[in-house]
Amino acid sequence: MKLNILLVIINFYSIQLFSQILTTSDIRQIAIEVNNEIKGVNFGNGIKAKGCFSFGRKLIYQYNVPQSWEPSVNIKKEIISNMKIAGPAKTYFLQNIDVDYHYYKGNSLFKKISIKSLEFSNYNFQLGEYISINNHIKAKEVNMKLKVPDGWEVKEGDRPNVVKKLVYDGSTYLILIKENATFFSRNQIKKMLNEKDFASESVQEISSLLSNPVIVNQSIVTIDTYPAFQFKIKGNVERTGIKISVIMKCWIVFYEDKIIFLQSMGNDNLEFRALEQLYTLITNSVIFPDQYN
Amino acid sequence: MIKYFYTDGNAKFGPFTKEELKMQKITRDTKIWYYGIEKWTELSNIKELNDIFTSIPPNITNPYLNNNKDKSIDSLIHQKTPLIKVNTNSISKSNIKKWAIGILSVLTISIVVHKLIKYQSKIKLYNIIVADSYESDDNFEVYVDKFYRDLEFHGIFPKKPKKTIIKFSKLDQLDNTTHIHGVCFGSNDDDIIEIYLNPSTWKQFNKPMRHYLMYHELAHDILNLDDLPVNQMNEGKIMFPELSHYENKKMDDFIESSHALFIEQSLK
Repeated sequence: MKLNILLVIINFYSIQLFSQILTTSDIRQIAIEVNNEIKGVNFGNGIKAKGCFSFGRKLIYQYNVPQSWEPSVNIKKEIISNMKIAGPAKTYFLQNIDVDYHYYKGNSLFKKISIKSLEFSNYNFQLGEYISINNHIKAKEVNMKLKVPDGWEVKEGDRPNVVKKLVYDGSTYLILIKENATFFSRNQIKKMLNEKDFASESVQEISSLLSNPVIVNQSIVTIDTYPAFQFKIKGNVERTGIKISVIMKCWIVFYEDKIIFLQSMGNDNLEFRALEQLYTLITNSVIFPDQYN
Repeated sequence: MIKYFYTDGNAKFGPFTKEELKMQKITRDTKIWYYGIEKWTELSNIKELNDIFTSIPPNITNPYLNNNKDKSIDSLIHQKTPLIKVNTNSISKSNIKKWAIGILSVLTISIVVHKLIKYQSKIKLYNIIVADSYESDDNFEVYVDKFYRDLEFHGIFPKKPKKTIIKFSKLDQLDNTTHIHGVCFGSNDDDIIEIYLNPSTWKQFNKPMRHYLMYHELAHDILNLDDLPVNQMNEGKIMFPELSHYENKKMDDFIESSHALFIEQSLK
């Protein structure tokens, strides 16, 4: 019975997949429309929709339940699972919308279920164990380790300089290492990164892979005490005559006499923007153990 | 009346009458000229002055004056400086010269002997080190390649020898050696890089210290640089010999020290 109730709720609210990022006012407008549709609707078994409203990027559904109603132990899991089957889960995930379900008995809030947008994702945003590239034939003596998201496969790189690639369902995160012209200390690199030409030269190598490249954003960051250049770039690539719009999120880490490229790429859509968070999590997990010896 | 002129080789004196000429400080070789003869002529060759010629005693040779053996005692008498003083100076200079030659010879022999002993002990040390040496599993060539790469980056292009020997040898078990971390035998020889490293040191050293050690020995070998004096000012530099003090150094310290060395060398 409980499952049926959830499915009914889902059927009432099935927002379409939007190709653009929804603003908070868009979400508010959707909440108003949904509220008008579901308010007072009887789902059977004494459960009635109380309404729907939004708070920032959160949608909040409210229901009146009978005094005898008890939620199942796995109600949150069941809701997420059903949302994934029915479709809205992907939209919530891609649009970064959190969802709350409030169940009232009379005027008292009896049960509250909060689901973060990431929880609607089919991607696993939990990082698993560290992998190390120490002593890898293509690692050029760089001792580095990072965490791989649960469920992602670690593959060897096919191209020269590509040490490893993390792969999941068409999404890829590459570890690529090249020799620098000489050694550079962290202080020297920090100074150089503030020079405009140095930054643009660093991006050039990546942007040369794309036609009509456009730098979306760029900044200087630190990855495990090493200075790095972070940027997002989009453009087109041609594969067997088909032009594809792609977007890349990259980090260039300057490590002693090596340049380490941490490079993610995907189709230029909302899914990539959502995955950016995961790529950032992977990059944040990077450790260069030699400096601590 | 004929007026005579004479010359001492530098200046011309006269005119003198024959009587006046007799009174002058002339010798049998003094050259005379008077109106009527074409060129300066020795007194002995002028017939009309034969009486003056015969009145002057002949030249004698001074045995002490090697450089002046052609000069007569008379010509020396005519010098402004007294003869006795000239002789004293000559004897004194000669003695000093002999002493100097003697001292120089002793010094040269000492240096040669010292160098020979040093060379022999170096050969002996070299033979012991080489006899005890063995190949390592570590790839030392990487450091050589990086060293040459960094030199080129700084505009320094030394000859790259075809032969490179970098091996382990138990240097800390040797007597009379201060190089317990590493020793190089290839300096001043552009045809070989020859370095021996102490295996126990290598094991103990962390990554920055290994880089310091390799660049230190390679700078000896390739750039022929000497150790720097052990003082606070040189601490942290690549050519500072007491690398065991570098335990707390980071790779950044090594990188900036190596840059400083290469910049200094490129300016030379």
